[in-house]
Amino acid sequence: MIWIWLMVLLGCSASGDGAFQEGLTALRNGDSSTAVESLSVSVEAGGRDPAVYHALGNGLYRLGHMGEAAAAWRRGLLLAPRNGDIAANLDHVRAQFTDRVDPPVVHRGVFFWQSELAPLETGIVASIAFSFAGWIVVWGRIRMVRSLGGVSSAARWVAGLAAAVGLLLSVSTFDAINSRQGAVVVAEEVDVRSALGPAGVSLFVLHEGAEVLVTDKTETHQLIVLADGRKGWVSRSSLLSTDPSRSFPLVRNR
Amino acid sequence: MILALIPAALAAELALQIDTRELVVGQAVPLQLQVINGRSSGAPEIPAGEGLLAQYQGQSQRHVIVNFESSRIVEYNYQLAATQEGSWTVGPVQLVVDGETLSAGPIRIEVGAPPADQGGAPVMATVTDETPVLGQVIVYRFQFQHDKPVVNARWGRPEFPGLVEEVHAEAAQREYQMVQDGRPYTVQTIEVPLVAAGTGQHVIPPATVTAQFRTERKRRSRRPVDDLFAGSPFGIRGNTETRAYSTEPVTLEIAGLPSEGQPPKFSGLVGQFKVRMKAGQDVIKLGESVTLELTIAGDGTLAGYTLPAAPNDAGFRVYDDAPEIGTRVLDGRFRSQMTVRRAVVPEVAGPLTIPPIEIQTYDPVQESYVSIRTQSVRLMVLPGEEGAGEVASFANAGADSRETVASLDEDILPVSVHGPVGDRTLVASLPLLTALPSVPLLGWFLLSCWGWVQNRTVDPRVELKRRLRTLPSAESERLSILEDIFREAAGLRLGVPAPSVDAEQAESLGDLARDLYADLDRVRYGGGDAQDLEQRVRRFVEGK
Repeated sequence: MIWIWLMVLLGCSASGDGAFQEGLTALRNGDSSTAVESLSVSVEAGGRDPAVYHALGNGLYRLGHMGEAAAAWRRGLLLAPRNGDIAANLDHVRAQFTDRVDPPVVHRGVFFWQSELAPLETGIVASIAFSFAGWIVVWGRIRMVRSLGGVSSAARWVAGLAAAVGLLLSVSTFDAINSRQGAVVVAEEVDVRSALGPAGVSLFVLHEGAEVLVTDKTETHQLIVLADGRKGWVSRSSLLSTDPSRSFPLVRNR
Repeated sequence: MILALIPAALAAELALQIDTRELVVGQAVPLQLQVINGRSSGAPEIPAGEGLLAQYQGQSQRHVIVNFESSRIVEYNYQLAATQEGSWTVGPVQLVVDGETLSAGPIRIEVGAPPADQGGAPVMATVTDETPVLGQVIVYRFQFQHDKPVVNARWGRPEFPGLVEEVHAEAAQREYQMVQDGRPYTVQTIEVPLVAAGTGQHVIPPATVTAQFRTERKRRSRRPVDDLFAGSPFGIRGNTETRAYSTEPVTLEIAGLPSEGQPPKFSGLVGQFKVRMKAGQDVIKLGESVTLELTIAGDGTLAGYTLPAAPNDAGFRVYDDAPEIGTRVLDGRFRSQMTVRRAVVPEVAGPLTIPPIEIQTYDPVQESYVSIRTQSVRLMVLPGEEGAGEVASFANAGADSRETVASLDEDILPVSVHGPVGDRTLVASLPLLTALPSVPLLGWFLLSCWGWVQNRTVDPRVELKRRLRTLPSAESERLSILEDIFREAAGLRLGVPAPSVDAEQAESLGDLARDLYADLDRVRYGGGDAQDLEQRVRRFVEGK
């Protein structure tokens, strides 16, 4: 059981670790370009780890790509919400942006614990809770087969409670994963239009680093919503997703 | 014991009661001398000061019940009239009650100046000083005199140019019942304390009052119901009459403070003041503090005034509390008082003299600057506990000279690595997270299958067919098993146990069963032919 737990905590495998170490060394040597290149390889190799995104954000920041750095750190923070270093870096870079825009919410208010816990953590607890409840049921079945009678009422309550906790955490985890529709503007300045094509008018202008919520997308554009409710279409190439499970395309093309 | 307590509980008492202790000349108020739960010989004389006159009016008696306890009160009623301004006392009164001499009082009565003679005018406005100096407090007094009952009166407050209201005081309103030439009348006064703030001539515009008087309707004949309700069932006799009055304007000439002779440390206080300093104790230990109570009182405003601080090298340190300022307006006189509690901490043992406090003020009566001062206070400071009151200095003796690390600039924070990196997304771990609860689920499934297998039962007809296929070769044993198979098959069809199947029940299953039952019975006892029994039993079992 402990072995399974550790495996889950460690991400099952050390994927992308070699490229990460190379990128980290380059970053410490001041070679930010090489660092970003290695770290992007690490991400594509499955190294979707808070440390990788932290280092990637640092490298991009040193290269002056503030919007992409903010996206990388936001991804790292979504994987490790209690990481104060990444949060500090994100605050530091956000203070330099032009637009004062609140980041989109990453979970519903009722699942308040998702502010401090990553979806992986709540998923692990949900899995363990379900497993615990299942083992109690198995134990009861064994007793039935051996004609020893069923489990006690206390054991049934514990199993029910564990199953309820597991269900609740599963729902909150699912909600947190589904709420990751955020993106960061990585273009220097982008026009937000009311509709695709020449019929649309320019509604407002966003600058690099602005965090938005993506609610719809086409092959070329994405429909974004600001925290104050304003929405419009922007070019897809000017946004970088903050979902840590996605690739980091701009880094790869750099 | 209860009987012994009764006299104590009903012990006689003597009390002196008066409605107000603030009168004006010409005002008369009732005064009662009460004998509670006792008997006295008669009404005593009430000793009163020179400015007061007490006249006996009569005696009354009543019973009151408080907390289930009855008290008998004999009241000797007097009329107390004020005849002269000043502070006077009534009593003490001594009276022999039930053979014991009891005493009540004394009561101090303040008698103020009477309302100004209005000369027949119903309203009048005056100020206590028409030529004040800058900073002086004057009292604006509005008088309304009437001899008819007033239902309601509302006064119009005038503007006060060149004057500001004293911040700590409020307008005072009083009502006097007066008697002049045997005719009662009422005087209502409103007094507003004001501070002269602008030099030159100023005119206070007329103040107004709108009063509703009760008027009595003349009737030809008085009905008994009018007597019952004093003329009106609602207590209001007749109609009301509204009348408005206004005063004459009041002219003021406010002068500035004279610059000649003004001391350099002039405090800004204008009025007649007294200052006093009093120590809570005379002897203290070093390290302890003594509280000095500094009080300054007078007829000027003390708003915004602070007492002078103690000198730095006086051999003691002082800590002042927030000052408490109280004001009062009575009969055209304004009084204010400020009290400051000052904690004094001596720094050396031995005799300590706290120097007097001196304040430079301006006295409008003397029209000059005057200096008021307190008495000095002498204290004896005893050596305290070891180390008490002594300020130990650790300067230059290994003191902590470190400083907070100063931030020069801000930048991003570096990466801290705690192990190999991997895919920490939920999607990557989803197979394992799903597998974790799947293990007990699989176990539960296997256990369920095992239980099903364990509880599975074999069809008895199949078992009978199997037995038919494996008949032994020994004749007797073969016949015994054939009979057993037949009985089992018949029992299954009849729904009864095999041993209980008899000939009658076998007959109910048809000819084949009936004949088989009979033939098997015969063969068992050595008769009949057993050649085709096996074939016939097989047909019966298979239901052909």
